Amino acid sequence: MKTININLIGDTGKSIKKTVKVSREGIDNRVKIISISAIAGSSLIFVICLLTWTGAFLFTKKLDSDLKKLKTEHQKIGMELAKSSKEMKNLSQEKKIMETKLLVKKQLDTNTMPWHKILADISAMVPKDVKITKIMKLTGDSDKNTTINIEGTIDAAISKTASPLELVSYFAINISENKADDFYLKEAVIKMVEFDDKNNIYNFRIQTSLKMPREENTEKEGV
Amino acid sequence: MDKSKKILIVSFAPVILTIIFILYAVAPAVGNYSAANNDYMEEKTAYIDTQNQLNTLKENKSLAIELANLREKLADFDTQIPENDDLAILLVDLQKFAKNNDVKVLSLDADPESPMEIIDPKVQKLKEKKKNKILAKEKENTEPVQLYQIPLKLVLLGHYKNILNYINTLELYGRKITLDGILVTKYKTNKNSSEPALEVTINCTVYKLERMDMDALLTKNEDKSK
Repeated sequence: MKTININLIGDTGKSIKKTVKVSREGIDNRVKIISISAIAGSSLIFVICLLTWTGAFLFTKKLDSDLKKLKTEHQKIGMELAKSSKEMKNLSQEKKIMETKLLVKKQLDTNTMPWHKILADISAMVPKDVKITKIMKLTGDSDKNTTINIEGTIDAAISKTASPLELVSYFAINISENKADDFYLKEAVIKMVEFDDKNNIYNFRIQTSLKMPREENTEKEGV
Repeated sequence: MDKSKKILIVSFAPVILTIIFILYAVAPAVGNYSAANNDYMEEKTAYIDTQNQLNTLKENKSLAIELANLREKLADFDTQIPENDDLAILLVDLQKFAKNNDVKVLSLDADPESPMEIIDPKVQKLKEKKKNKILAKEKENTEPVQLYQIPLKLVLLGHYKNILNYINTLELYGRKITLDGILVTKYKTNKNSSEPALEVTINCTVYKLERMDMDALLTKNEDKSK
């Protein structure tokens, strides 16, 4: 019995082997290197870029979140700052008001005279039969400049011990010569004495300066 | 087409894709990161500035101390010089003092209030009046308060000692009363008493202090300077 071997793929297999061989042999070494380098390089760069992109993306996200928190915090302390600034402004305004008030207090204290003491001093110095009719403060710019006008009358008929003019002089001398520390008046000057025919009285006016005993004493102590 | 060329083209495809990826993804992402970083740094700098300002304000205690000292010095100021004229209260008190000192209040006349210039007495002592006038004019619109004087004419009837005591009571009174003069208008002799009763007119002044609207003042001054 004869066996017939029919090779159906024999030639085709051979031809494929031949093709592969040819294609491998057909590629230039330079092309090989360039293509491998290009693929490898681009892959490497791609990986780096991918990492960079991921990193940038994640960091940006984190920064955005941090920025949001920081803005919230900033807004909070900004409001606190505005509040504190307003408070400070109010305090400054209040300080200005207080300083002005202090100035007012000083100004009024300077112009205030111890009337009770002055009247007591005058009543202690005034001779009998002399009637005081008017006591006026003339200037009040400062303690040193303050002067007082004392006006009064003396009945020309009543006075027996001394003449009315003498009484006015005694009154002025009593004031001028009193050197007591707690005496508020000094340097009395007779400004006017005139006789009133109708009422039979003498009108007089004495001008005296004011000293502040306590302040003078403290100044001396300070020196 | 040559196989080598095909291979080259295929090989350069990832290169091109990488370039596209860099241009359209990596570069914007890096740009965004850089911008976000700048924003963050700017915000942080501003935050630190604000924080410093806040700390400086909180640590500035000198103003508070000064204010406390001033408040101590001016503890009774509002009683001495109130913001309203309060003449009704004053009249009640004057009557009370008169009763306590055995003096009769015959009349009380109050003149209209008038504004008063606030001057530092120390500065005035230096005799810089001209300079003061200029300063006062400049200050006029910036003073936070306005002082008003209310002149009063108080007519009393009583014995000299009682009137003296009455005047002493006025000097010790909580409200500031400045006496300007005393006029003895009548001497009334009485058979029952050795001392004559006096009719005395006391010219005095009380004060009130009005607070000015600071914001309005500042706006007014700004307008003027413009």
